[in-house]
Amino acid sequence: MLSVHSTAHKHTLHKMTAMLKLSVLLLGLLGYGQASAEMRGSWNGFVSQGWILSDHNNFYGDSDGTRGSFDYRELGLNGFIQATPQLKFNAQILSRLAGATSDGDPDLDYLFADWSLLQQTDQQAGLRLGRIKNAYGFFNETRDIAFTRPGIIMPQSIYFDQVRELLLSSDGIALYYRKNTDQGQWLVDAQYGQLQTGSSTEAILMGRTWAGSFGDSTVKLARVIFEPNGERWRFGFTGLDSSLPFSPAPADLAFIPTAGKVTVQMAIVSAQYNQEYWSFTTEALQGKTRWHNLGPIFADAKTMRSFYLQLDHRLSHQWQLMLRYDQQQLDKDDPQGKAFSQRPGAGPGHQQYSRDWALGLRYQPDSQWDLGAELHQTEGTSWLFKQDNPDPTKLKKHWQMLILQAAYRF
Amino acid sequence: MFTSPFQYRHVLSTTYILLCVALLRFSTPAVAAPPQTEAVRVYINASVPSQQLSDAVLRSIFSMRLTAWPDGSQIRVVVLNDAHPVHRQFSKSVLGIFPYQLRQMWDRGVFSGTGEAPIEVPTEQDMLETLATTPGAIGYLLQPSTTEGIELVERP
Repeated sequence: MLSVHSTAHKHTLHKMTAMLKLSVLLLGLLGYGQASAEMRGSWNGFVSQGWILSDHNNFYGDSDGTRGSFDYRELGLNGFIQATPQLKFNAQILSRLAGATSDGDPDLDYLFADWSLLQQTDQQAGLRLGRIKNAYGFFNETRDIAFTRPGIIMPQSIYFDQVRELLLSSDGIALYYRKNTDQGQWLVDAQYGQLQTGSSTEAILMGRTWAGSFGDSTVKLARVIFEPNGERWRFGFTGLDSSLPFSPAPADLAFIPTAGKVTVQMAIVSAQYNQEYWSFTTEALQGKTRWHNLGPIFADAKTMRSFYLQLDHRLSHQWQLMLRYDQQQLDKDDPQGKAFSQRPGAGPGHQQYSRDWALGLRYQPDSQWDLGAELHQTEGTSWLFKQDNPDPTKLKKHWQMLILQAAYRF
Repeated sequence: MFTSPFQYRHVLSTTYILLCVALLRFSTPAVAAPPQTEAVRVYINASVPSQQLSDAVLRSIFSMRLTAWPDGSQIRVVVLNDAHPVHRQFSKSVLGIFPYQLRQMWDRGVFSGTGEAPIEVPTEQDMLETLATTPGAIGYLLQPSTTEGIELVERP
């Protein structure tokens, strides 16, 4: 118990120091920006409340109860200051409650300076410095805002919530480049920064939480999006490489004899086709996790494979229907989890995969409200949270859930 | 939660029926065909240095990716709301994209800090006034106008 406490304390401290460094840096830049006369700014906010009713397994709180779970709530405030035509400051505070995985405490979602380096009619480029949302796939940067999500919950196979910290944002530097050619528009993003690792990263990548912890973990990523002219397609490719050094504490040495590191490499391909009343979106991911020098209790490497296909039908400009198939395999060499379930205490093999069908209805009476209902029919439990389902032997292979959500923005 | 599987099926079937009713009720065309007799014209505030803009450049401007005029001053994009017939016509015939795609681009920018939303006005009269009084403004009108303070954009 003591070790759990000290670990949590350590992570909080680490997080606070990083936030402090960022704030000082950006306030300094803001002071420089205030010299400008044509300064302007704007702010926005949003709030959403969900309700989840499931059978057998819990998702985002105690959803497998007679009353369902209301533990799915998001509240955000964002704003920008355009200090000069070249320099812009952006920030968002987000409070997210999602079962046992997000506690609802307000967090600094992003805070960065955007310095425009090039503004020509056929190409634009710039530099971002601070805490930046990771440019991963089509949706990661706005995954926590009901209005920009492709459903009430993200396709969990690719935008998994268990290791949010690994994907969400990074503290560092980003470069962007936009280019218009005769063929279409190119959007290129490259990013390097420090990840915010915490106990959920440890639980997923290291099997459980330890007395030791991850040190300075970094992520490198690049994303290219191409939008051909006159066609309705968008194509994307993301490559991501992160490195997480782990130092065991004395209490861990029996299991983890030496300091080592975990590396995660991911490639995501994305495609979208847009018609007036129909949209089709698909993304696929292959991710390789490697454990270096961390001892025999970890595998050398594991490859994860996922994809989803989604069809959206706009019935009117207020009503929308969605159908999605979402599939995840945590280990391509053990797709049914047979080898996994042989391990003592591991629990059933269906924790290693998920196949999810979702049907959704969305109603946007005006630009400020977004109301939705979604039905999920799922085989497998790979994207469920251990914190919400502490006993793996009680997990059911086949399960369903109904989610309702109301969102408002101002 | 559900005491018997029967109750869960009940919830499922009710929801499916509701979805089907919604489908029948609302499967009329989402937007009426815009009147094609008049072409939407693009206008700028008289302070703007460039009077000739290609449709590709207009797409960069209205998707909020190009944010400064050639002299370095800020571009201020003005639009009517998403459901307005003139906005729909402008979006489809000039930019070649659907209003919902524009809205998605703006929202992505607003909620990730990488962009912003345009100035939204309710009527064409408000559009005219905003264009005439906002330095760096760009917008569109269905009726030709010679109001002081705005200029017509040539689209080669």
